[in-house]
Amino acid sequence: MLVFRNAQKLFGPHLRKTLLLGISCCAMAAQAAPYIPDNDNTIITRLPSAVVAMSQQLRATEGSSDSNPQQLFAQAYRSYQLALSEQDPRAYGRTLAIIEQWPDNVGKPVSLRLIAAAVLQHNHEFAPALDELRSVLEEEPRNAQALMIQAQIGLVTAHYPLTQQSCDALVNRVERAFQINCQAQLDGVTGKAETALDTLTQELDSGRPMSRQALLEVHITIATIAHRLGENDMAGQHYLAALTMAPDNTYLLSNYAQWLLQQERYHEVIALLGSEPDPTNNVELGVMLTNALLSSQDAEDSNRAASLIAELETYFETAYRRGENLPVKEFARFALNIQDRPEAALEAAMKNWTSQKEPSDALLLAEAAAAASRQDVIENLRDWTDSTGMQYAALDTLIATGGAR
Amino acid sequence: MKSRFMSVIILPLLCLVVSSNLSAHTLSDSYLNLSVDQQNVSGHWLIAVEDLELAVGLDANADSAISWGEIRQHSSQIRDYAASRLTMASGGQPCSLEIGTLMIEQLNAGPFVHLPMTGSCAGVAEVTLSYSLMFDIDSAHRGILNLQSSDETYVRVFSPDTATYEIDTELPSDAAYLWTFFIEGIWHIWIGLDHILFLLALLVAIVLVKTPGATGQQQSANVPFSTYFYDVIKVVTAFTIAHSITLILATLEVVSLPGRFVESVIALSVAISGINILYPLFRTRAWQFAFVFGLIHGFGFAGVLGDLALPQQLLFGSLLSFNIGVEVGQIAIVLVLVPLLVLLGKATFSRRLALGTAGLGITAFGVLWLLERSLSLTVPVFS
Repeated sequence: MLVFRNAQKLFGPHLRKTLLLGISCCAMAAQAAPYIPDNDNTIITRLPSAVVAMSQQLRATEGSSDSNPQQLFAQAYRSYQLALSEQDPRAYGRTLAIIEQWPDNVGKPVSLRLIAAAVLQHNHEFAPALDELRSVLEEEPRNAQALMIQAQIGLVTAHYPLTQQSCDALVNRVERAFQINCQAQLDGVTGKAETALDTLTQELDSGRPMSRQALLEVHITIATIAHRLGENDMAGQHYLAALTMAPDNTYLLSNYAQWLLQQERYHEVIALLGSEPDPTNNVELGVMLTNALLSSQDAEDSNRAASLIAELETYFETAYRRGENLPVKEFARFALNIQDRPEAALEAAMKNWTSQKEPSDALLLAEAAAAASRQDVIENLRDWTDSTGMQYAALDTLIATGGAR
Repeated sequence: MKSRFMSVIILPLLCLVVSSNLSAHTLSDSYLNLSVDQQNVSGHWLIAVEDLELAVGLDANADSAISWGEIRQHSSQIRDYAASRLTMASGGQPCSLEIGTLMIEQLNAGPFVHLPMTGSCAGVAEVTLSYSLMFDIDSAHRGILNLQSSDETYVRVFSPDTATYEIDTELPSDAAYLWTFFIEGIWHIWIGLDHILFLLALLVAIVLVKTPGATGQQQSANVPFSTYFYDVIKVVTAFTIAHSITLILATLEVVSLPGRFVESVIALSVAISGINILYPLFRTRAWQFAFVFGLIHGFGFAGVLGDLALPQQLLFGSLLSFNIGVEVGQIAIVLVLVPLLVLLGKATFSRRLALGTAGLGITAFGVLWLLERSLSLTVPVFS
């Protein structure tokens, strides 16, 4: 089994208890009684398109129990594409289940290991993802896709030498803009943010042809670095450029919404995220929307916030019952900004910090520590940002004021 | 083969910006709620309609909507599928499990098919459950078990890695609980070298260093046992009463003292009682001394009891059992030590040797413990 291998170790029973504290309503209590519908025509549910597609694939392969490796690969690839396009967790779980069926006596092709690594990375299972990538790179030391995933994992987990090594190995292996973007992302969190911005804007201005995907990534990198440096004009301009290209990209949406929230532009956050039919489809965005609704001081908004809070509580409760891969980052934000429970937020933020160290993770930790008056945590964080060179104006302010208390 | 696969996968992986893995309500979970009573099993199993669509294929008319009729049409397949993915056994014997009339239950995570379950086992003292629903289809699927047996709830999560649980549902009886705490009490005083040395030092001072009146003349060898018998009783009783008081107060959280302070004072009591053998400090007030330091030793016992996780419903009983265990263990020590000391006191040489060894030895232990505990030093001998 690949998925969730280390999750149980990551989250101790104490934190799970904390996750539940303060969640007043209970998911089980909210259950309706079982019933038998009156009528055969009663529609019980409409299936998500990913489930329809997966079901068709399953029915098509039913009966052929001894599926050959080629078929398995095709299934895994289709399932992964489905996971990417629909963002349905069942499709990610399905992809890994197919890979699990790979026969032991046949070596896994590089592409299959890359798919496994990408799914594991998506599940935030960084260590097993890196194991898969290592095996790919042993066979093909300059496999561009492996290097790019590895660079991203290095950024998320703050293993910057791994990212540096991966970005270096990408030279002449991918479109130039991807390589430059890789280096700029790293420079952006290691004390060379201004250089990163210069390089990327020069690349944009140079008029060199750039693929759409590369252009999107460059816009996102410029926007997020400028955001952290407090260059709000530049950040806003590139956030909007990226959003017109990829309005559904959750990473982009969450960074942009965070930027708006930091400037107390609540109505724009509501406009950005509030049209989603089910904002808890992405919990991080759901928490930010709730935060904006609560802060906007509009009666209608606060009603909507109340129902969102109930949904999010149910979500955290369900996640707790599952007991693994707890959404600690989202819960920390929820506890801090919505529930006003700084201690619980800090505990979750510290747990999150053990696996993820992006600028947004650092800011969350600092905010929770400041709210809980934990100067020791802030001082440790200051030492850490001093040593890595991470630049984030909002974080620096918190560290300066929090550390001086 | 490798090169053929290689060309297939290109673009999707380039979308590298890390996205959140969290989408609420769509993770695949099933909820298995069972209760066992005597030989009977009852409860229900909730399986998501979406999962059954993947596993069985419910959407007969391929309109992407699942009607109650479609679920009803597939009810035997659903039952067979569920039954083939769960086994329950007790004492090596498989339990019988029956699935009743299917219903629908709406959870926050979406619509679930509610499968009523009944069954019977040879016995339910220990049940083994093996679960494999959906694992071949979705590696991220989890089965959340809620098993109830005589007021206890056992929650377990089945995953592809942990698909089988053995659950011992037989609770120890009250008597067994109390017996455990009684044994723990005896055991604690026996392995608690600091308590034993303190007691030994008090006994040595009484039995071997008998100093009657103001003559200052030592005449232990000739003193009949009856003359210091009452002193032994007084000291042991004072120590017992004192440490029982604080053990109970500290366990009930009426009073509390920092652990390091308690441990340091216990070490100090050992050192002083050791010195008292060599040089008279409190020989005429032995029981008062035993009482005062006994109070502190009680906090030490309470610290151990705190680590044992007292059952709330048997709080007083377990506390009392532990305390009685300590006393029984202590009486056993006294019954062994006193005759031994009386024997050593018979001859001047052995008496002096015993006095010197005990006095120096106990003082040394006390002082070293005191240093170790109060200054957090690591003394290699004791670590």
